[in-house]
Amino acid sequence: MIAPTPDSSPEAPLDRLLLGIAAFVMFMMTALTFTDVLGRYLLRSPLPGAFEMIQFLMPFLIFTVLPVITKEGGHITVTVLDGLVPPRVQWAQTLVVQASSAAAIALVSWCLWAQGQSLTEEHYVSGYLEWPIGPVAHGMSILCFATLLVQLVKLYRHLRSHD
Amino acid sequence: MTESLIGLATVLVLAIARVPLGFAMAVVGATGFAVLRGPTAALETVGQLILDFSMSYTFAILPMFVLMGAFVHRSALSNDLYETSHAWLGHFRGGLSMATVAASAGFGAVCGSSVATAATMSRVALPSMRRFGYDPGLAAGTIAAGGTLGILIPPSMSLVVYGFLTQQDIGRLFIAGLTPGVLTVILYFAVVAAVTRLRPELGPRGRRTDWPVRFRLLRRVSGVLLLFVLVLGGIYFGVFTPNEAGGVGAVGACLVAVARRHLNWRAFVASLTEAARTTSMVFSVAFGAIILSNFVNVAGLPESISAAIITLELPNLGVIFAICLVYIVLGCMFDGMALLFLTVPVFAPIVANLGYDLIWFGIVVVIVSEIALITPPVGMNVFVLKSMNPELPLRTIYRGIGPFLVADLVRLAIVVLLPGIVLYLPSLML
Repeated sequence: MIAPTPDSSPEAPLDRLLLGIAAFVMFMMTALTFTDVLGRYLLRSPLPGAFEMIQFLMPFLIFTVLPVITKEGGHITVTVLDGLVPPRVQWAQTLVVQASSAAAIALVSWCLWAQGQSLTEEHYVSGYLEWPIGPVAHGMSILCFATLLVQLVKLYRHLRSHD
Repeated sequence: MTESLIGLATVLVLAIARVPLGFAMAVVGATGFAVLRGPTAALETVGQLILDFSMSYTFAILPMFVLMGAFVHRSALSNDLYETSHAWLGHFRGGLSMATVAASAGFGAVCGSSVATAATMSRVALPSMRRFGYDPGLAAGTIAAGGTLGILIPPSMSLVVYGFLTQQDIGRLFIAGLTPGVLTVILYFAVVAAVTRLRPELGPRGRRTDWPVRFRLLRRVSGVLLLFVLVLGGIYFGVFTPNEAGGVGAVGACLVAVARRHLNWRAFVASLTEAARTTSMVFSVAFGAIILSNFVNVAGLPESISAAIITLELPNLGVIFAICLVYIVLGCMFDGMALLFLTVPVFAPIVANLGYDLIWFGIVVVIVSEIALITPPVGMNVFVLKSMNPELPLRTIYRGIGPFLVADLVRLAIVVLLPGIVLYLPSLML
């Protein structure tokens, strides 16, 4: 799963956009951490709020690439049965996999949206920077919803492949 | 308790049917919780758990160390590491295998992934072992087994994940991995020495390298050493928090890669996306694992098992050995990471109830998941080796791994029976 990806691979424009955003988020998180340490030891003043900014960036690092991983079928999977499933059963197996994946993603997307709603209603903000947390949950939910669309397309294609 | 057993069985069935592990755990965990506490509570809990987990500062350590590994991987340090180990050890019988183990340990010291370590070493060390007439089984076994050092020698992805799941201090876990890591290197050296003593033709001696050359090569790998000392020393002496050490390590690895002229813009961006991808993959499973473990805990499974252990008056050590046995059996079917996510939420509370230290148990779990990486039929390191060298028969690889597995079991026994080996260094930390 951690096998390095090639430096250049043909990707759809939307994939490239999402991966680009994720790369930027990753860069920002590292830069914030490093500046914070450097500031504390060299200038005796840590970066105020760096800690919380990283907390706000983490969900986007995780959820932005989720549609791409889902499209590529890159989720961590147990492969013990691979090669043992007879071809006739494979279609049904894939159907179960695709359908339950869609169900799981839909569930998470729904729960996060509900979480965002209640946090927004309660005007919930972070401790130091006082940034609202509700929109983060909404953002995660939207990215999850995009993932769900990807998963549904995969499911639809699989259903169509049955003749 | 019945609910959680049904739940765990369902997760196993779904996972084996190839449903992505995180999804299987999330659906079952949420459904189970809904059965026990009602659907509204379940929806709320799932949303809350995922948001809290995503926004936790502690867990931002994972992408930092993955990024560090990605830069290290691109800086082609592995070539120098291997060349240096070769110069120092190559003239011994089986010396190239020992050099592979040493280079894997060095690579593992700056990279937290076993699969990446095995993949890198397969590219660097295998051609050279072949050229010197090494037995393909011994060569492949050394790489697959040596690669597992990636997750024991800190930084380690598996220890970070274990820290997530059990709320243990990741800095302490890293420091705890040091002594067992050294122990592993020694045991693997002993395996190579023993195998080549019995059958010298498997690993012929190489040429002796002059001392000045050895030292010159050693200087070339000083970057790796420096990075390791900076990151681990920083954590150990409390200069950095583990998160900060990750950030410093990532920037340091980036600078090393630039200095070695191995990092252009494209490779830089690819390293960043690679870190994002890996983070996303690990977290999607982690979400599932916390949702499932939340359900299992509410259903009272760990308490029931602990109570059963007390009523049956089982000796503590017996329980630990039983757990290890379960791990080894499951490890044949599951890859190391899957094994961690599936079992730690169930076993860790039981082990803690017995009065064992969870830092120590973390190292035990990492050792058994290292074993899982090389046991048939599913061993990720073996698959990596096979996919990069399609002409190597799987049987040859597994044959070569055999002696190293024996060493792994010895090591597991040592760590279980002498917890002090693991806990001494962390106990000195402030």
